[in-house]
This record gives sequence, structure tokens and C-alpha cells, in this order.
Amino acid sequence: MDTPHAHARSAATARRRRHAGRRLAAIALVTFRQGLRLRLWLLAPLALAVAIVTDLSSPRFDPIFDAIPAAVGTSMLVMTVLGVILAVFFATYPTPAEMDSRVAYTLMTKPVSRWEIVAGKVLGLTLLMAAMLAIVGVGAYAYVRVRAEGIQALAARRLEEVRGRTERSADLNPLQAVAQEGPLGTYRYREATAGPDFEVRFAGEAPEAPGVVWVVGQTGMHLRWRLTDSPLREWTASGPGHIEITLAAHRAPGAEEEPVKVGVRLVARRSEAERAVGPDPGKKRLVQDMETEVPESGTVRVPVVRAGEKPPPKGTFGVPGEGDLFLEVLASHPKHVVGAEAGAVRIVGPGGQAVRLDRPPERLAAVMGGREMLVGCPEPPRQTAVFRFDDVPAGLLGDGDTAVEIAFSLDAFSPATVQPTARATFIRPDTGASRSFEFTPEGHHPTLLYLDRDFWHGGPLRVRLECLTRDDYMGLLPESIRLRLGGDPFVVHLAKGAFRVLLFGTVLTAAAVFLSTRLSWFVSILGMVALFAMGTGGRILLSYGVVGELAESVAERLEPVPGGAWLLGHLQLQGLLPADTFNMGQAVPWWDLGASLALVLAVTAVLVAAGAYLLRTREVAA
Amino acid sequence: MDEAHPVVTQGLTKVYKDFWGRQKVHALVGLDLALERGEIFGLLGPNGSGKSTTIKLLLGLIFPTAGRARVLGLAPGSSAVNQRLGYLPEESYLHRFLTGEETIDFYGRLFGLGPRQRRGRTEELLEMVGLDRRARARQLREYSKGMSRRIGLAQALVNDPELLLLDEPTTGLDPIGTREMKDLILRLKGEGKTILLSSHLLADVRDVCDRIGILARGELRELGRVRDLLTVRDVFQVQAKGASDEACEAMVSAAREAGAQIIAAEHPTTTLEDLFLRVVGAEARDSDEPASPGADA
Repeated sequence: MDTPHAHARSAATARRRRHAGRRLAAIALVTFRQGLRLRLWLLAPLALAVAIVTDLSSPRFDPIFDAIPAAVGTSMLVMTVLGVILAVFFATYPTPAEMDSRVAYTLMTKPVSRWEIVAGKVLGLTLLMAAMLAIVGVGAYAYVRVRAEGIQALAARRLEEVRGRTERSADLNPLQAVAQEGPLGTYRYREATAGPDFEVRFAGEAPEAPGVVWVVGQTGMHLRWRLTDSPLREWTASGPGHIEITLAAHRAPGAEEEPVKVGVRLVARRSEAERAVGPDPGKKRLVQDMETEVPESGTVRVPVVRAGEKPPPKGTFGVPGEGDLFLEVLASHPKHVVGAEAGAVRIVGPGGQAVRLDRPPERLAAVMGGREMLVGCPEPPRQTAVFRFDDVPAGLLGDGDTAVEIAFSLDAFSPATVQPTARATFIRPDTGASRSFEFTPEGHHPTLLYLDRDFWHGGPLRVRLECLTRDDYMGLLPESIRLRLGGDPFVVHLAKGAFRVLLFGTVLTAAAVFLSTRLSWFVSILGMVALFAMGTGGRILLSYGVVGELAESVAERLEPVPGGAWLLGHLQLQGLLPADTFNMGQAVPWWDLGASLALVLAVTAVLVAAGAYLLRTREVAA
Repeated sequence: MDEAHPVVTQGLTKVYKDFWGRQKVHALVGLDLALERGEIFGLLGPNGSGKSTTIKLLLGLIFPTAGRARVLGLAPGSSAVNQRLGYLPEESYLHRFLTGEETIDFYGRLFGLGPRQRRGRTEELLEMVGLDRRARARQLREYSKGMSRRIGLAQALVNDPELLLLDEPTTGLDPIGTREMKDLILRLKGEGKTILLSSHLLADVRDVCDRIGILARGELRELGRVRDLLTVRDVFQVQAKGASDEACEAMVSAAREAGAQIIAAEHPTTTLEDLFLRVVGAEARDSDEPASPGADA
């Protein structure tokens, strides 16, 4: 093997590999030229004309706020349709055409690998699509800019009209933003970095008690200690013992004479594995509770025994032999506030042995449907949700002097009042300054609050939310809390959207080229139509029956994983396309675009490899 | 094997099957062949005899049902083989939306030639096959049959191959084009290239080939050197120039007296091809007008 001939051969092989890029480019260029000479590019101005005519002829509910999102949305839709048409009808064409015209005889007798042929075609078609989307994109940009000028003038006129009739200047903020900066502003959101961190305040009369964690009565808020790792279970196995809980209490005006009562709960939660093999697989929690009065000493004593077949005596907790164990304390009176600090819980065994838990209690709010509940009360003490943005660089808040927008999803459940009222207080920890105002939550739409820039423009910020109306309660979705920051320049924004459409089209193109390596043009088109139908059918299948349950289970497991929700969205091809929020101006993060690109490249590579295999095993001249 | 025999086949067989996998046509049956380096080998046979099938098998465009083939010492169809061979299909199967120059440039890229090399090679090849500047800038869809064959030949030579497979190289060419093609083939042989050509035009094969194989119904019926196969052993022919009628009579009489049977004694005729070339001359080559677009699709 080690002969001059073998050396020459290996050198030739190395040279061939080195020129793979050149061959790939050659095939891509020919495919691109083919599209141009078939005059496919004429579809681009046609698509642009369709987009403009459609946009101009569609009625808009509000010309100031709807027109640009609608125009952007129409442009993106037309680009998507153009991409689909190119993929379905043209990407399926070159390979069957080369087979039918026997150009493949010539092409495949050249030193070009099958993967280079398939990849070159995908590349050339993608370039063609990119060029055509660029034509539509540039035209759409020019069109939107022209429209934007008119909208800005309209917004300025309307602002003058309504300025005197509006109570709160912050309500005019969106209009003012359009009037001053035009309707082409884009934005991105920053989520609360460390929150929501639910805390309790006493509106001026809160006792100074560092280290004490407070909960307000009858709000569902509770203090919690984990006892699983404590010796409680081991000690009660040998005899009865007790738990001592030392509590601080505060009575608000009007309830000073009422005895402080607390609810105490022992919660045993079975692990996943235990539930899977246990005799009663559905049962997740075992809760024992009692109400008791907090004596003057502040220490509540709860007897505990080993849980057996018989229920424990009244006023005594039975400690189960397995599962996670938690001790929880709630205040019973709405005017009472109860708190505890680290070391508040002491476990005493049957022989008098004792251990004190060093850690402070957790403070938890009531949760309903994923929302953390704020219970309404017109006077203090009142439950308060506090979240914070630790440090926001001023440069991220965008240009201009319109107010900063903070948004969150706050649902009001209002059995008591027609117009539930909440209060937001903005606090600057660095200066101590604060500002507050009342509002009615928007319900299922995000609630938007505006903060003047002369008060805050970057740096740390705390926001406190309270429900002020009696017997109302509001559910806050913690992950919805976000601060609106400046986005990309509009031209970059639009280019990102067009790039997303291109990514979508690239996958379709790769699928089309893959099919056409073995099928005729017509059958390949049918194959692409079948793929779309399968996509729809697949989504229906994933919604029902055993498959639906399985898909749901996979989704549930994947969603909490970092990037899992993103991946789930992108596994459906539509996830690659710009979302509705994009039309509204929400910027696509660069990392998101990069991750989408990586995913598309990976899927395309798989399709190219599969297509190359099909082509390699095909008798071209049979 | 690679050095001495650029093409070797052993028991090469191809059976075409129908959609259901049933055997339909025995296109080639047990072909044993070995080409000598530097020779021109002609595959002769009527339509459907297996000539094109043999070439397609050697190019890896189809796969053998049985037997094996080695081209330049390697399996057919591999990039390493294709790097060193040139192929002219029976018709010029090229992208019709490309111009002549773009076509050669494209195939030059596939061989990894750099921009300067491609420019030089394009110029050289188009010159060699006789495509003028105007023709080079036109899309192939506007080419006449003859021009298509020329551009097809140019693409086959873009990599200066050591082995050439020519499938019916003179099909569609006029006598001038045919002569030029044959001259070119001989010139390529002179450069040391090995050439395998298939044809059913017997005169063309006789003019250029060193050896021939005759295929019929997929089987190799005859194989050998052209001169050996065509020589009529019991006939002797003298051709003389400048002899008077008396001298000719004397030669015929002498042969008869020596006991030979005279079959023919006459002035030889030239070939129709020679006559045509002499009459039409070089001017026809320069006035090769294109056919109407799409006429030779």
C-alpha cells in the first residue's frame, strides 16, 4: 500500500476534499442561476404588491396602534407564503429535472459527492429564497416607513385632543410615545431577576423585628419548616414527644383584644417513587391540622406520636413513617400578623432530648392555577407582593423621554366589587424615593404600568403590589412580570423577522430536495403537501388519546428544563416563524435567532445526509 | 492493473427489472474486457446491443447485476475515478439555461480548478471545439445539434482526462464535424489518452479504433485489432499511382498468369466524406448557424 501510487492517490483524495467548498458553491450557483433564468424573481415584486394591496384594503380598529403591527404581520405572512411556494414548487424541481433531461448523467460523472449535490442545491435554493425575501423585505420596509410618518402625525394630533380629558398622564404614555418617537419602536422584556419575592409590610406600623418572617392572617400565606431531615420521625418511633414553635404576633388596630390564634399543620408528602408502588397511588399529601391559641409566652406546644393504624388523640399529630415532612403555621385572624425567625422550632423527644432548627421558615403564598394570590384588604395589615429589578442599565431602557413600562399578568377575582382596585408602589432603594398609584387589573391581558423617567431611569427598583378592595383577591403570574426595554432599530427588527422566515423556508427546502432525490417533480410536490397534512394530522394526534397523554407527559417533563419550552415550540415548524408579539414590536433576542439557526442547520444536515444516501443508492441512468 | 489496463470488466452483467422486480431485459451478459493503456477501443453493435449499458456501468450511473468492473483500478462512480476521466454522453446532456462559457466554468469548478485556470481552460477548450465568441455567450437552449456536441466534448475534456468514454461521439454531426471529431480523437490518443467509444457507425470506428469489440444482444461476439479483423487473407490488393493503362494491363495479365483470380481491376473511388469535405470546405465550418430555440431539446 505504501507505494508512490498510493501516495499519489491519497494526495488526490486530499485535494478533492479541499475543493468540496468550490464544488458546493458551483452547484449552488447553478441552482441559483436556474431560478433566475426561470424568472422566479418576478414573484418577489408580485408578493410585495400583494402585501401592500392587502394591507391598504384591510380595515384597522385603531390606525395608530394597529396599522404598523398589521403591516408587519402582512409582510411576514406574504414572505412565508412566498417561501412555501418556492419550497413546494421550485425546490422539488431541479433534481427531477436533471434526471429527466439526463443532465445528471454528466453531473454525476464528475468528481462530486452526492452530498455535495444535495447540499449545493439546498444552498442555492436558500440563496435564491434569501434574495427574493430581501426584495420583499426592502420593499416592505420602505412601505412601513412611509406609513409610519402619517401615523406619527396622526398620533400627535390625537394627543393634543385628549391631553386635557385624561386624568392620569401615564395613560397617555403609549400615544405620547408614538407621537414623539414614531410607531416603529421595538422593545424587549427583562423579567424580574429575583422575584417575585413575596413579602409583608405594615404600612407604617410594622414592628421593627429584623429576621422575623411575617404572614398576614386569612390570606393563605403560611410559614413552613421542613422536618424530613430532623430526628422527629426517629424519636416518635420510640415514644411520644412534642414540637415547640415560638411565634411573634402583631395585632392591628381594631383587633388588639382578640386572642392570637394560629393554624398548625403537619404535612406528609409522598415521593414520586413511593406513590408509584404504594397501595394508594393517587394520594400525594397527608395533612393533619389544628387551631391553637398563641399564649403570652409566644410558644405553641404541639404533641406528636408515631402514626399507627388508629388515629392519634385529638390535639396530637401522628408522625407518618415515610415521605417528606413539613410543619406549617398560618395566622387565623385577618387583623393579626404572625411571624417567626430562625431557631423558632424546637423538637423534643420522649426522653427529653431536644433539637432546635437553625434555619428560618420559608414564607409561601396561596397558589391557585399557577398564580400566587393577593388577598384584598382596605386597611393594613395587608398582604403585599414585592418584586424587584436589581440593576437595570439606563442604556437598555431605550431612547426618548416617554415613561418606562412594567407589565405583569394580574387576574382579579371579584366576588365583592365591580371594580377591584390594586395599588402599585415604586421604590428606589438607592434614594429611598417612592411613588404609587392605584389601578384596576386588566384581567387576562397584561397589566401595563408606566413610570416616569424623571423618577427612575435605570438602577435598582422595587415594586410593591397590594389589593385594596375588601374580600377581593388577585392572582399574580410570577413569570409574567417584566420590564420593557428598548429593542432593535426597526430595520434590524424587520431583518430578523425575514431571517426567521428564511430559516423556516430552508427546512422546507431541504425537505423538498430530500423528497425529490427519489421522486418525480409532481410526486415530490404531492409529498410536500402530504408533509403539511401530516403536520396538521400529527398535531391532532398529539392532542388526543394515549398519544396525547404521552405527548403531554413529555411536554411536562421538557418544559421545566432550561430551553425545553423553546425546543418544544421549535419542534413544530411554525415555531420558527415570527410570533404575533414580533408584529407588535417585541424584538427577537440574538440568542434565540442563533439557537434557531443551529437547529435549522442540524435538521437540514440530517435531510441532506438522507437525500445524499437516497441519491447514492439510486440508479441514475436506469 | 491500473497502469496497464485502465478498464477491466469480469463477467459484467446487467439485467433491467420492471417495477415489480421481475427481470425484464438482459442488457449485458458476462462481459470480459480489458483496455490497453493509450489505445482507442470501439464498442460496436446495433441499437440495444448493450453498448450504452456498458458505458453507464463503467461510469457508475447504474449498478451491475453480476460481475465486476474496475476503472483506473477503482470501483466505477467514485470521485477518485471521475477526477481522471471524461465522458461524452450520446447526446449533450447539459444545463440548457447556462451559456457555453458558464457551462465549462461550472464543470471546471467541479474539478476544483481555480478562477484563472478555469478562464484559461474555457478559452482553450472552446477554441479547440470551434465555438466562436458569439456562440459562447448564448444559452445552450439556442445551440444547434452540432454546437451541442462540441460543447459536450469540451466539458468532457475540461479536466484533461487520462481516460475518455465517448458514447456515439459522431451522432448528429455533419461530415465536417464528424471528421473534426475523429481528428480530435486521434489527437487525444496521440497525447496518450485511453479512449473507449461506442458507435454503430462502422466507418467511424474503422477510421479511429485500434481494437474493437462487437456486441449483439448483450453478448460480446467478436474482439480484436481492427486490422486483423478486417483483413481478407485470401485477397491481395495493389494500389499504384502514375501507372499508364498499358502498365495496368500488364499487371493484371501478370497476376492472371500467376494463377490468381482477378476480382476487380479498376480505378479506386474516393469516399463520399472526402468528396464532401473537398466541395464544402472550410467555409461550412464557419457558418454553423444555430437552430431555432428548443429545436434540439
